[in-house]
Amino acid sequence: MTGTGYAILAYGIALSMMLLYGLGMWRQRRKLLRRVQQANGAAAADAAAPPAREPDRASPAATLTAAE
Amino acid sequence: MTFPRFLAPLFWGATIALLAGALLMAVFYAPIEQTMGPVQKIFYLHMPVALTTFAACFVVFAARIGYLWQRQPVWDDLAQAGDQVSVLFASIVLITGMIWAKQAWGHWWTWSPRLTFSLILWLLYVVYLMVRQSIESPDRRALVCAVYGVIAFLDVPLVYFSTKLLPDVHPASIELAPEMRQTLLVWLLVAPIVCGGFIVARYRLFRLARATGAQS
Repeated sequence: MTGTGYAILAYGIALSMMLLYGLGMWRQRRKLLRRVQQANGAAAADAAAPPAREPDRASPAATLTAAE
Repeated sequence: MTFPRFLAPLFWGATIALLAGALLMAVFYAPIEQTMGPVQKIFYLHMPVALTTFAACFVVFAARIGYLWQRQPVWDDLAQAGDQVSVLFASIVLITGMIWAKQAWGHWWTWSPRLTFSLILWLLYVVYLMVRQSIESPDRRALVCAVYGVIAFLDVPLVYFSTKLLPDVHPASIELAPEMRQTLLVWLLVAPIVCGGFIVARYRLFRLARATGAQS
């Protein structure tokens, strides 16, 4: 291999390593942000859902049970 | 630490443009050195990346001292980010150095003091990543890594001063033409910018992972 070939090899490897490291971080960041969005979505859905109903004590059925 | 959304794309766009400019300078602007020929152009990448590796190792060292002093997870995250980038840059230094050595000296590797200390530095920081993975408890892991990180940094002065204090085949200084010096200066600007960008990006990722509970 010539000197030019070695120089191209060195720059190619170095820049590829930097690029791969940067892309790896970018992918990881996207994955984490998606997880945060999913968690936020789930929390918002929980907040928007109606609360679990307690038995209506004034309903006819409750009155009847109490009278018994 | 929160940044405006446009800042990261702007920073990386400018950095890539600067990197492309530095690459073009190394290829077309810097003249071919008479003795070594085109392979000498590796020097514009190799030397700035080596100096930047020392700076990244210093970030790890300072963050470890910070952790030992304050025991705050932010220091641990910063040290971990610095360590990963140190390994990346030290790997580039070793690989580009070996490629240059093959052409200049006729063999890939020789056990000269600088090369040996550089390899030890790389190994120390790789082992540090492995030690990190092997400890379960987060507090204990951070403490062990803090002590290890401080000790590992002691190799950095050995790498730097090895060519000055010990007989070594590695060149201690090279005479440069003005165009070569300008190209080198641009690379000396680009390499720390890329390194700093990586450390900040990785640090923010660790903070985000910690906030979402995805920390390993």
